Amino acid sequence: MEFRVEDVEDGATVIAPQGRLTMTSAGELKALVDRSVSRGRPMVVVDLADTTFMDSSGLGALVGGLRATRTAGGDLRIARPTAQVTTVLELTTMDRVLQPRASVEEALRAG
Amino acid sequence: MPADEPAAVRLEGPADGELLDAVHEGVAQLWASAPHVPDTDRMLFEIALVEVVANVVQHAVPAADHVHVAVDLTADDGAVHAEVIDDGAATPVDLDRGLPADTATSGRGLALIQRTVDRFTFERTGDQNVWRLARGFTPEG
Repeated sequence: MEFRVEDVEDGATVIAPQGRLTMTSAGELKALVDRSVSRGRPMVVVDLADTTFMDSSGLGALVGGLRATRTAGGDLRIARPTAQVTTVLELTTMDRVLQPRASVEEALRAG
Repeated sequence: MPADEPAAVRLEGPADGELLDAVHEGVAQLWASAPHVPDTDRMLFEIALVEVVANVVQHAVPAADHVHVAVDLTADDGAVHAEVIDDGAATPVDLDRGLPADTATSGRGLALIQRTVDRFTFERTGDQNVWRLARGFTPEG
């Protein structure tokens, strides 16, 4: 499992999980979010365009990241989820909390 | 086209992360030999199966030096089935728990299983934990 991490404008960080975000990779995503927060960049967009599969552990890492970024005065937003990821968000009703955005740019602009 | 004989895949191994990866590959193998299974049912079944195996891996308490898991997958004319058996210690499974608070970072696995398959049972049989899943195919159109 690989992650692309990119610092973008306005102090935000974009993290893009490549492949399956499951029990075996969820801890790494949470660690990357924590690292961004500790670097003074608590605004994080998780770009899910290349995340082919997410389980409840992956979702848990997103929720943990949301808590960590908000505690630091930032936010965690998600962009471009695949059909499988959207299904997991909807079935757990977590799409209310982690509202999917159509693009990384839209996620950065979202209030 | 319905399959003449049920397509079947069997996986076995210690309860660890490698097994979880093997399950994704095993599911892909099953779909390759059961092309009649609709895409939606493939996706929902895989969500449930991965939650079951992740649960076994995360909560496995070895009765011996490690927990051994066997996963049997079958796809027949109308449904796809899974049986996951491990030889770990008895695991308490609360099937009536529902979804946790929005801020919880875990505890959504069982609810996801219940929302993605038609049949889901867990039982302690002798020295084994036995999980069974089944999902009938969604009518087309």
